[in-house]
Amino acid sequence: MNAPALGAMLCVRDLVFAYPGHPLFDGFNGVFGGGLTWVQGANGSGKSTLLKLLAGALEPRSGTLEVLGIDAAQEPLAYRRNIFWCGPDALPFEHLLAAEYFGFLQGLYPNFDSDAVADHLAGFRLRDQMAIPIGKMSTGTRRKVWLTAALVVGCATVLLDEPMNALDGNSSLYLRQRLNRAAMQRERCWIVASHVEPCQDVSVLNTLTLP
Amino acid sequence: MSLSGTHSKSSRGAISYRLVRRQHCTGALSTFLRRWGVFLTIGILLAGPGAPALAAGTVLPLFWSLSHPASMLAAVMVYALLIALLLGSASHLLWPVAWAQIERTLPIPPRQILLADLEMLLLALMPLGVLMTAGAALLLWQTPDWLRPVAAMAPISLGAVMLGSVGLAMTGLQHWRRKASGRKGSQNPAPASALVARVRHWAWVLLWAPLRRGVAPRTARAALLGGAALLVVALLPTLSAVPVTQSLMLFSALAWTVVIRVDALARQELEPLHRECRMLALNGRALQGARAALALVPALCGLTLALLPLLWAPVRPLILLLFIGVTLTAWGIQLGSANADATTQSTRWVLSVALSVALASEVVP
Repeated sequence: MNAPALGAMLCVRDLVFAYPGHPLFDGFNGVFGGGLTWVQGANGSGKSTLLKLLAGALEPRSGTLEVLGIDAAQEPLAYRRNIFWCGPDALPFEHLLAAEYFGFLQGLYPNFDSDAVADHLAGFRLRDQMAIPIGKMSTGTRRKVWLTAALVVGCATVLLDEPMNALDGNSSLYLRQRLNRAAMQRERCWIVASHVEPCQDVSVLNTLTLP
Repeated sequence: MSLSGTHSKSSRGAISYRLVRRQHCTGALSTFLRRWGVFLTIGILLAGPGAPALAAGTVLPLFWSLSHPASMLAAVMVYALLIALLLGSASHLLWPVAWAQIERTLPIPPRQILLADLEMLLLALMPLGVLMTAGAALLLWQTPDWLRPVAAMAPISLGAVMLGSVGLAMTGLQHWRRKASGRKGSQNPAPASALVARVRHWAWVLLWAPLRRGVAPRTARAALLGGAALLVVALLPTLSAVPVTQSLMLFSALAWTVVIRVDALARQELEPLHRECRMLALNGRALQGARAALALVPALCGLTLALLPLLWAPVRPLILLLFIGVTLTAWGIQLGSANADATTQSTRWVLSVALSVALASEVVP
């Protein structure tokens, strides 16, 4: 991984994780700074697992994770308030309306930007989907709701796993525009995991290739 | 903007985690009531005069056991365990396992999660709790002679049962939560040639492996537990002094429940996998048949055992044949009709189980 251009926002030290019979990370170290980092690698190289570990969805065997100096093991709640994970699948919480889901996140994240929600809903063409339960949305629409949440939660670090999955052309273009802006942000760290090369219209600060 | 600022609790329009869980639970409850509400109402109306006896019956064994400390302890434990198991069987409604990973990434205070779990369990326990409390009140109001010496212990034992069942169910739910969000399990890799040689038949890939490897965990659990329960009920006349007629009636109601439950879970957990195999050179009917067999095998084994004691008992042959015919036909219709709407299905369930139990009660003169 290239050295980060700016101060570290997310630090990973000596991360060890293995699925039974399949070791994946053995002493992984990484420092992620502000802007956009593109994590790439072949299928099964551990991109999604790395993001889940960073987000706290999976528990490492050992190692230290810190976001803005907050240790995930020492202060798990403060850590999670500063990191948001958008997974590669459709969003759960199927019984909630999209608006209720945003309300739920608003209660959890102190810097949730409720004013920006409307802009992103328009960008993703989601405005007329607000009154529909998430479970009744198409896979792509559910992904867009989750991505909208990622754009508005206001966390120091946002993790997007295969964000282009299931998106239509317009939504994909809109997301690339937002990622391009994210790449310019120095106060936030955006980490995108994808099996494809970074899009040409997105400025990527760092790339991390998993073997 | 400070990224590490403290959490404002007064966000307008914010929804708490407990409310999210409550909404999920009440949604599931309203779906249940839409399907079964009519029959519950009819049942309550029919049981009208017998309702007090029914309510009292729920606590009768517990109160009977109060005369001896050892039996009281055993009864409290068995009651608590049974109620906890009942609550555990509805755990997918109380907390959907699909939420496990995402929940771990959200900054939800552990206390809120615990409180939400507790609230959902209490909500689920409420109907039974009300029924048992009403039964206890009835027995204490018109106290029978055998209860008088230990009447003071009755409310305490009921409280202990409720506390114990909630405690056990909470422990189970926390264990399930940890298990669901734990590391992905996989076996040590076997040599590829051995794996290829083992995968010889589609049934291994599409039925046995999903059941063994946790793709369809609830189906596997229901088939195993249901099969075990049916065997116990079928063997009741042999193992204890329970009359054959009562055992057969209990068996026919339980077998019907097991068939419906395993079939519903197999549809839920295995059908998506089987649907994905449509493009393969596989007979769709064979897949459907395999799923049906999964629901049918425990019930058929149980039926064979349940009919064994009848070899030595005087029976009405025609009624026996009718009972077997009706039971098998009802199971067959249930397993063959995948797309019937909820009302049709529940009507058929109620009628079939009523007919089957009625015939079972007439097999032995």
